[in-house]
Amino acid sequence: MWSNLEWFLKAVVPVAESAGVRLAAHPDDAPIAEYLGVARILIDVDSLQRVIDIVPSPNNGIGFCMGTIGTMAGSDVVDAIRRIGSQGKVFFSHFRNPRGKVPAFEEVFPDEGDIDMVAAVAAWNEVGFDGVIRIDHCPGVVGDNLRADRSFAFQVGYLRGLMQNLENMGVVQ
Amino acid sequence: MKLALTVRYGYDEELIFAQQLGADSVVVRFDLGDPQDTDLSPVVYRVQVAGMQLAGVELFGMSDEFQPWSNGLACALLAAQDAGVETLFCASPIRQSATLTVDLEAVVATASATGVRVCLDSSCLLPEELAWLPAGDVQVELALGLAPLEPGASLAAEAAKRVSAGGVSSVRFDGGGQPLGIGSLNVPACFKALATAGYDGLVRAGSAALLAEDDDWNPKGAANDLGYLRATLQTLQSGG
Repeated sequence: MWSNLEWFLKAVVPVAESAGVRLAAHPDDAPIAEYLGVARILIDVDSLQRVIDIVPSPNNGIGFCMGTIGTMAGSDVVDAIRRIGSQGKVFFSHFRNPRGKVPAFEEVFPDEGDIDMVAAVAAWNEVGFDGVIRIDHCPGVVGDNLRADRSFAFQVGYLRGLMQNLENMGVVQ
Repeated sequence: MKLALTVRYGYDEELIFAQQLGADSVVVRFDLGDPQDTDLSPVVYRVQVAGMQLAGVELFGMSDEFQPWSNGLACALLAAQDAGVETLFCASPIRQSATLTVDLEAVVATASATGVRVCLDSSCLLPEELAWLPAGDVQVELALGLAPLEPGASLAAEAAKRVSAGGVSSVRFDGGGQPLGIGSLNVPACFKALATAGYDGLVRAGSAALLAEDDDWNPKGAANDLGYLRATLQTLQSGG
Protein backbone atom coordinates (compact mmCIF):
# COMPACT_ATOMS: atom_id res chain seq x y z
CA MET A 1 0.00 0.00 0.00
CA TRP A 2 2.75 2.44 0.89
CA SER A 3 4.72 1.74 -2.26
CA ASN A 4 1.57 2.24 -4.31
CA LEU A 5 0.88 5.54 -2.59
CA GLU A 6 4.47 6.66 -3.12
CA TRP A 7 4.28 5.77 -6.81
CA PHE A 8 1.00 7.66 -7.12
CA LEU A 9 2.20 10.79 -5.32
CA LYS A 10 5.44 10.93 -7.27
CA ALA A 11 3.39 10.85 -10.44
CA VAL A 12 0.71 13.37 -9.55
CA VAL A 13 2.41 15.89 -7.26
CA PRO A 14 4.57 17.34 -10.08
CA VAL A 15 1.42 17.73 -12.15
CA ALA A 16 -0.30 19.42 -9.21
CA GLU A 17 2.66 21.77 -8.88
CA SER A 18 2.55 22.75 -12.53
CA ALA A 19 -1.21 23.23 -12.36
CA GLY A 20 -1.02 25.27 -9.14
CA VAL A 21 -3.24 22.85 -7.27
CA ARG A 22 -2.63 21.55 -3.78
CA LEU A 23 -3.32 17.91 -2.91
CA ALA A 24 -4.66 17.24 0.57
CA ALA A 25 -4.78 13.62 1.75
CA HIS A 26 -7.65 12.83 4.10
CA PRO A 27 -6.90 10.16 6.73
CA ASP A 28 -8.74 6.87 6.51
CA ASP A 29 -12.08 7.14 8.26
CA ALA A 30 -12.51 5.11 10.41
CA PRO A 31 -8.79 4.87 11.20
CA ILE A 32 -8.53 1.10 11.39
CA ALA A 33 -5.92 -1.12 9.71
CA GLU A 34 -8.41 -3.07 7.64
CA TYR A 35 -11.98 -2.53 6.53
CA LEU A 36 -13.98 -5.08 4.53
CA GLY A 37 -10.78 -6.85 3.61
CA VAL A 38 -9.03 -3.74 2.35
CA ALA A 39 -5.91 -2.46 4.09
CA ARG A 40 -5.86 1.14 5.31
CA ILE A 41 -2.65 3.00 5.99
CA LEU A 42 -3.51 6.58 6.98
CA ILE A 43 -4.61 5.60 10.45
CA ASP A 44 -2.34 7.56 12.77
CA VAL A 45 -0.52 10.88 12.87
CA ASP A 46 2.80 9.30 11.95
CA SER A 47 1.28 8.00 8.73
CA LEU A 48 0.12 11.53 7.85
CA GLN A 49 3.65 12.73 8.42
CA ARG A 50 4.89 9.98 6.12
CA VAL A 51 2.59 11.19 3.33
CA ILE A 52 4.09 14.64 3.66
CA ASP A 53 7.64 13.28 3.66
CA ILE A 54 7.27 10.89 0.71
CA VAL A 55 7.15 13.73 -1.77
CA PRO A 56 8.25 17.01 -0.19
CA SER A 57 6.37 19.71 -2.03
CA PRO A 58 4.34 22.82 -1.20
CA ASN A 59 1.54 21.12 -3.11
CA ASN A 60 1.54 17.90 -1.08
CA GLY A 61 -0.20 18.06 2.26
CA ILE A 62 -3.02 16.97 4.50
CA GLY A 63 -6.74 17.45 4.80
CA PHE A 64 -6.77 17.55 8.56
CA CYS A 65 -9.98 15.85 9.64
CA MET A 66 -10.25 16.60 13.34
CA GLY A 67 -12.93 13.95 13.68
CA THR A 68 -10.93 11.13 12.13
CA ILE A 69 -7.72 12.10 13.87
CA GLY A 70 -9.64 12.39 17.11
CA THR A 71 -10.67 8.75 16.85
CA MET A 72 -7.15 7.47 16.10
CA ALA A 73 -5.83 5.23 18.85
CA GLY A 74 -3.71 7.25 21.25
CA SER A 75 -4.13 10.49 19.34
CA ASP A 76 -4.20 14.01 20.75
CA VAL A 77 -5.75 16.36 18.22
CA VAL A 78 -4.30 19.53 19.70
CA ASP A 79 -0.80 18.04 19.60
CA ALA A 80 -1.44 16.84 16.05
CA ILE A 81 -2.49 20.33 14.97
CA ARG A 82 0.76 21.66 16.36
CA ARG A 83 2.83 18.93 14.75
CA ILE A 84 1.35 18.90 11.24
CA GLY A 85 0.05 22.46 11.21
CA SER A 86 3.36 24.01 12.16
CA GLN A 87 4.89 22.60 8.96
CA GLY A 88 2.39 24.49 6.82
CA LYS A 89 1.13 21.19 5.50
CA VAL A 90 -2.51 21.45 6.43
CA PHE A 91 -4.46 22.70 3.41
CA PHE A 92 -7.86 22.57 5.04
CA SER A 93 -9.47 21.20 8.16
CA HIS A 94 -12.69 19.39 8.94
CA PHE A 95 -14.25 20.60 12.17
CA ARG A 96 -15.70 17.61 13.99
CA ASN A 97 -15.56 16.24 17.51
CA PRO A 98 -16.41 12.57 18.11
CA ARG A 99 -16.51 10.81 21.44
CA GLY A 100 -14.30 7.74 21.93
CA LYS A 101 -11.58 6.16 19.80
CA VAL A 102 -11.34 3.14 17.56
CA PRO A 103 -12.77 0.57 17.79
CA ALA A 104 -15.64 2.24 19.70
CA PHE A 105 -16.56 5.86 19.04
CA GLU A 106 -19.68 7.83 18.30
CA GLU A 107 -20.71 10.96 16.45
CA VAL A 108 -21.80 13.78 18.76
CA PHE A 109 -22.22 17.51 18.44
CA PRO A 110 -18.96 19.48 18.41
CA ASP A 111 -19.44 20.79 21.94
CA GLU A 112 -19.88 17.27 23.35
CA GLY A 113 -16.91 15.28 22.08
CA ASP A 114 -13.56 14.40 23.59
CA ILE A 115 -11.52 17.05 21.80
CA ASP A 116 -10.98 20.31 23.65
CA MET A 117 -12.28 22.48 20.81
CA VAL A 118 -11.32 25.72 22.54
CA ALA A 119 -7.71 24.52 22.73
CA ALA A 120 -7.91 23.19 19.17
CA VAL A 121 -8.98 26.51 17.68
CA ALA A 122 -6.32 28.26 19.73
CA ALA A 123 -3.77 25.77 18.36
CA TRP A 124 -4.81 26.49 14.78
CA ASN A 125 -4.04 30.12 15.44
CA GLU A 126 -0.81 29.27 17.25
CA VAL A 127 0.55 27.45 14.19
CA GLY A 128 -0.46 30.28 11.88
CA PHE A 129 -3.10 28.33 10.00
CA ASP A 130 -5.01 30.68 7.73
CA GLY A 131 -6.82 28.12 5.60
CA VAL A 132 -10.34 26.86 5.64
CA ILE A 133 -11.87 25.14 8.66
CA ARG A 134 -15.01 23.51 7.38
CA ILE A 135 -17.75 22.23 9.65
CA ASP A 136 -18.40 18.55 9.15
CA HIS A 137 -21.17 16.04 9.62
CA CYS A 138 -22.73 15.64 13.05
CA PRO A 139 -25.90 14.07 14.45
CA GLY A 140 -29.23 14.89 12.91
CA VAL A 141 -31.71 17.27 14.46
CA VAL A 142 -35.45 16.77 14.64
CA GLY A 143 -37.33 18.15 11.64
CA ASP A 144 -34.17 18.89 9.67
CA ASN A 145 -33.99 18.76 5.88
CA LEU A 146 -31.75 16.53 3.79
CA ARG A 147 -28.99 19.15 3.88
CA ALA A 148 -29.04 19.03 7.68
CA ASP A 149 -29.33 22.82 7.80
CA ARG A 150 -30.30 22.97 11.47
CA SER A 151 -27.41 20.77 12.48
CA PHE A 152 -24.99 22.81 10.37
CA ALA A 153 -26.37 26.09 11.71
CA PHE A 154 -25.56 24.93 15.23
CA GLN A 155 -22.02 24.08 14.16
CA VAL A 156 -21.53 27.36 12.32
CA GLY A 157 -22.61 29.27 15.42
CA TYR A 158 -20.38 27.13 17.61
CA LEU A 159 -17.27 27.52 15.45
CA ARG A 160 -17.80 31.25 14.97
CA GLY A 161 -18.39 31.57 18.70
CA LEU A 162 -15.08 29.88 19.50
CA MET A 163 -13.18 32.05 17.04
CA GLN A 164 -14.76 35.31 18.19
CA ASN A 165 -14.31 34.50 21.87
CA LEU A 166 -10.64 33.68 21.34
CA GLU A 167 -10.29 36.91 19.33
CA ASN A 168 -11.87 38.80 22.20
CA MET A 169 -9.33 37.25 24.56
CA GLY A 170 -6.49 38.19 22.24
CA VAL A 171 -5.64 34.52 21.71
CA VAL A 172 -6.65 34.51 18.05
CA GLN A 173 -5.89 37.33 15.65
CA MET B 1 -24.21 29.99 33.76
CA LYS B 2 -26.94 27.85 32.22
CA LEU B 3 -28.12 28.06 28.63
CA ALA B 4 -31.80 28.12 27.83
CA LEU B 5 -33.64 27.93 24.54
CA THR B 6 -36.92 29.76 24.09
CA VAL B 7 -39.66 27.56 22.64
CA ARG B 8 -43.33 28.01 21.84
CA TYR B 9 -45.95 26.28 23.94
CA GLY B 10 -47.64 23.40 22.15
CA TYR B 11 -44.86 22.55 19.73
CA ASP B 12 -43.11 19.46 21.03
CA GLU B 13 -40.69 19.46 18.11
CA GLU B 14 -39.16 22.57 19.63
CA LEU B 15 -38.67 20.83 22.98
CA ILE B 16 -36.97 17.88 21.27
CA PHE B 17 -34.86 20.33 19.28
CA ALA B 18 -33.71 21.99 22.51
CA GLN B 19 -32.96 18.64 24.09
CA GLN B 20 -30.96 17.41 21.09
CA LEU B 21 -28.88 20.56 20.85
CA GLY B 22 -27.95 20.39 24.51
CA ALA B 23 -29.83 23.33 25.99
CA ASP B 24 -29.74 23.15 29.77
CA SER B 25 -33.33 24.30 30.00
CA VAL B 26 -36.16 25.94 28.10
CA VAL B 27 -38.22 29.08 28.47
CA VAL B 28 -41.70 28.42 27.10
CA ARG B 29 -43.57 31.27 25.39
CA PHE B 30 -47.20 31.34 26.44
CA ASP B 31 -50.03 33.51 25.14
CA LEU B 32 -51.74 34.80 28.25
CA GLY B 33 -54.98 35.30 26.32
CA ASP B 34 -57.75 35.37 28.88
CA PRO B 35 -55.79 35.58 32.12
CA GLN B 36 -58.63 34.18 34.22
CA ASP B 37 -58.38 30.84 32.45
CA THR B 38 -54.63 30.50 32.70
CA ASP B 39 -53.42 26.97 33.38
CA LEU B 40 -49.69 26.40 33.21
CA SER B 41 -49.68 22.76 34.34
CA PRO B 42 -49.73 21.44 30.73
CA VAL B 43 -46.62 23.50 30.05
CA VAL B 44 -44.83 21.91 32.99
CA TYR B 45 -45.98 18.44 31.95
CA ARG B 46 -44.83 18.72 28.33
CA VAL B 47 -41.41 19.98 29.39
CA GLN B 48 -41.03 17.13 31.87
CA VAL B 49 -42.01 14.57 29.24
CA ALA B 50 -39.33 15.96 26.95
CA GLY B 51 -36.77 15.48 29.71
CA MET B 52 -36.00 19.17 29.92
CA GLN B 53 -35.75 21.66 32.75
CA LEU B 54 -38.25 24.51 32.70
CA ALA B 55 -36.42 27.76 33.34
CA GLY B 56 -39.62 29.76 33.19
CA VAL B 57 -42.63 30.84 31.17
CA GLU B 58 -42.46 33.91 28.97
CA LEU B 59 -45.83 35.64 28.77
CA PHE B 60 -47.02 37.50 25.72
CA GLY B 61 -50.36 38.80 24.55
CA MET B 62 -50.56 41.02 27.63
CA SER B 63 -52.23 44.40 27.75
CA ASP B 64 -50.29 47.55 26.97
CA GLU B 65 -52.09 49.39 29.75
CA PHE B 66 -50.82 49.01 33.25
CA GLN B 67 -53.91 48.01 35.25
CA PRO B 68 -55.08 45.17 32.97
CA TRP B 69 -51.44 44.16 32.55
CA SER B 70 -51.03 43.98 36.30
CA ASN B 71 -54.28 42.06 36.71
CA GLY B 72 -53.24 39.61 34.04
CA LEU B 73 -49.86 39.11 35.62
CA ALA B 74 -51.51 38.47 38.98
CA CYS B 75 -53.57 35.67 37.40
CA ALA B 76 -50.47 34.25 35.77
CA LEU B 77 -48.60 34.34 39.06
CA LEU B 78 -51.33 32.31 40.74
CA ALA B 79 -51.34 29.85 37.84
CA ALA B 80 -47.56 29.59 38.06
CA GLN B 81 -47.76 28.91 41.76
CA ASP B 82 -50.31 26.16 41.17
CA ALA B 83 -48.25 24.55 38.41
CA GLY B 84 -44.89 24.87 40.14
CA VAL B 85 -43.44 27.35 37.66
CA GLU B 86 -40.70 29.30 39.40
CA THR B 87 -40.24 32.23 37.02
CA LEU B 88 -42.37 34.32 34.71
CA PHE B 89 -40.77 36.47 32.04
CA CYS B 90 -42.64 39.41 30.58
CA ALA B 91 -42.36 42.90 29.21
CA SER B 92 -43.85 45.74 31.21
CA PRO B 93 -46.24 48.17 29.55
CA ILE B 94 -44.75 51.46 28.48
CA ARG B 95 -46.00 54.33 30.59
CA GLN B 96 -45.00 57.45 32.46
CA SER B 97 -42.97 56.77 35.54
CA ALA B 98 -44.76 59.14 37.93
CA THR B 99 -46.55 56.34 39.71
CA LEU B 100 -43.96 53.72 39.04
CA THR B 101 -43.21 52.54 42.52
CA VAL B 102 -46.89 52.46 43.46
CA ASP B 103 -47.71 50.54 40.28
CA LEU B 104 -45.04 47.95 40.66
CA GLU B 105 -45.47 47.50 44.39
CA ALA B 106 -48.76 45.74 43.66
CA VAL B 107 -46.91 43.34 41.38
CA VAL B 108 -44.20 42.89 43.98
CA ALA B 109 -46.77 41.98 46.59
CA THR B 110 -48.45 39.40 44.38
CA ALA B 111 -45.14 37.87 43.40
CA SER B 112 -44.11 37.68 47.02
CA ALA B 113 -47.38 36.04 48.03
CA THR B 114 -47.04 33.34 45.40
CA GLY B 115 -43.29 32.84 45.69
CA VAL B 116 -42.99 33.11 41.91
CA ARG B 117 -40.28 35.31 40.47
CA VAL B 118 -41.09 37.89 37.80
CA CYS B 119 -38.36 38.85 35.35
CA LEU B 120 -39.13 42.11 33.58
CA ASP B 121 -37.54 42.74 30.21
CA SER B 122 -34.97 45.49 30.71
CA SER B 123 -35.45 46.79 27.16
CA CYS B 124 -39.03 47.83 28.04
CA LEU B 125 -38.17 49.47 31.36
CA LEU B 126 -37.63 53.14 31.92
CA PRO B 127 -34.32 54.13 33.51
CA GLU B 128 -36.16 54.96 36.74
CA GLU B 129 -37.69 51.50 36.78
CA LEU B 130 -34.35 49.85 36.19
CA ALA B 131 -32.87 51.86 39.02
CA TRP B 132 -35.73 50.88 41.35
CA LEU B 133 -35.54 47.18 40.63
CA PRO B 134 -35.04 44.58 41.97
CA ALA B 135 -37.88 44.68 44.40
CA GLY B 136 -38.53 41.44 46.18
CA ASP B 137 -39.34 38.75 43.66
CA VAL B 138 -39.68 41.24 40.81
CA GLN B 139 -36.34 41.21 39.09
CA VAL B 140 -34.80 41.98 35.73
CA GLU B 141 -33.92 40.10 32.60
CA LEU B 142 -31.07 41.98 31.00
CA ALA B 143 -31.86 42.26 27.30
CA LEU B 144 -28.53 42.90 25.62
CA GLY B 145 -28.58 44.07 22.04
CA LEU B 146 -32.01 45.62 21.68
CA ALA B 147 -31.48 48.90 23.45
CA PRO B 148 -28.63 50.42 25.42
CA LEU B 149 -28.98 50.05 29.15
CA GLU B 150 -27.48 53.48 29.40
CA PRO B 151 -27.06 55.54 26.22
CA GLY B 152 -23.44 55.95 25.23
CA ALA B 153 -22.09 53.54 27.80
CA SER B 154 -20.30 50.28 27.11
CA LEU B 155 -22.90 47.55 27.02
CA ALA B 156 -20.60 45.07 28.70
CA ALA B 157 -19.74 47.52 31.48
CA GLU B 158 -23.37 48.43 32.00
CA ALA B 159 -24.38 44.79 32.12
CA ALA B 160 -21.73 44.14 34.76
CA LYS B 161 -22.94 47.16 36.71
CA ARG B 162 -26.49 45.85 36.69
CA VAL B 163 -25.35 42.43 37.86
CA SER B 164 -23.38 43.98 40.68
CA ALA B 165 -26.49 45.90 41.72
CA GLY B 166 -28.30 42.57 42.10
CA GLY B 167 -31.64 41.29 40.94
CA VAL B 168 -30.59 40.05 37.49
CA SER B 169 -32.11 36.60 37.08
CA SER B 170 -31.60 36.17 33.37
CA VAL B 171 -29.60 37.60 30.50
CA ARG B 172 -30.93 37.61 26.96
CA PHE B 173 -28.74 38.25 23.92
CA ASP B 174 -30.66 39.65 20.99
CA GLY B 175 -29.00 39.94 17.62
CA GLY B 176 -31.65 42.35 16.37
CA GLY B 177 -32.54 40.23 13.35
CA GLN B 178 -29.00 38.94 12.84
CA PRO B 179 -27.63 35.61 14.02
CA LEU B 180 -25.39 35.99 17.07
CA GLY B 181 -21.82 36.50 15.91
CA ILE B 182 -22.80 38.47 12.82
CA GLY B 183 -24.00 41.82 14.07
CA SER B 184 -22.45 44.48 16.26
CA LEU B 185 -23.40 42.89 19.58
CA ASN B 186 -20.16 41.79 21.26
CA VAL B 187 -21.38 38.71 23.07
CA PRO B 188 -17.92 37.54 24.24
CA ALA B 189 -17.18 40.90 25.89
CA CYS B 190 -20.57 40.89 27.61
CA PHE B 191 -20.13 37.30 28.82
CA LYS B 192 -16.72 38.11 30.20
CA ALA B 193 -18.04 41.18 32.00
CA LEU B 194 -21.00 39.28 33.40
CA ALA B 195 -18.80 36.47 34.69
CA THR B 196 -16.34 38.91 36.21
CA ALA B 197 -19.24 40.59 38.01
CA GLY B 198 -20.20 37.22 39.44
CA TYR B 199 -23.22 36.42 37.30
CA ASP B 200 -24.02 32.71 37.30
CA GLY B 201 -27.66 32.60 36.20
CA LEU B 202 -29.64 31.90 33.09
CA VAL B 203 -28.52 32.95 29.61
CA ARG B 204 -30.66 32.71 26.51
CA ALA B 205 -30.85 34.08 23.00
CA GLY B 206 -33.59 36.46 21.97
CA SER B 207 -35.69 36.14 18.84
CA ALA B 208 -33.81 34.03 16.34
CA ALA B 209 -32.91 35.50 12.98
CA LEU B 210 -34.75 34.29 9.91
CA LEU B 211 -32.28 32.46 7.68
CA ALA B 212 -32.87 31.25 4.12
CA GLU B 213 -35.56 28.62 3.58
CA ASP B 214 -36.26 28.27 7.28
CA ASP B 215 -39.46 27.22 9.05
CA ASP B 216 -41.75 29.70 10.74
CA TRP B 217 -40.08 29.36 14.14
CA ASN B 218 -36.60 30.07 12.73
CA PRO B 219 -34.85 26.91 13.97
CA LYS B 220 -31.75 27.56 11.89
CA GLY B 221 -31.24 30.91 13.54
CA ALA B 222 -31.99 29.39 16.94
CA ALA B 223 -29.46 26.60 16.34
CA ASN B 224 -26.82 29.12 15.36
CA ASP B 225 -27.45 31.18 18.46
CA LEU B 226 -27.38 28.21 20.81
CA GLY B 227 -24.12 26.99 19.26
CA TYR B 228 -22.63 30.45 19.59
CA LEU B 229 -23.63 30.75 23.25
CA ARG B 230 -22.35 27.24 23.98
CA ALA B 231 -18.96 28.13 22.49
CA THR B 232 -18.88 31.31 24.51
CA LEU B 233 -19.63 29.48 27.72
CA GLN B 234 -17.05 26.77 27.03
CA THR B 235 -14.40 29.35 26.25
CA LEU B 236 -15.19 31.11 29.50
CA GLN B 237 -15.06 27.86 31.43
CA SER B 238 -11.73 26.97 29.88
CA GLY B 239 -10.22 30.01 31.52
CA GLY B 240 -10.85 32.64 28.90
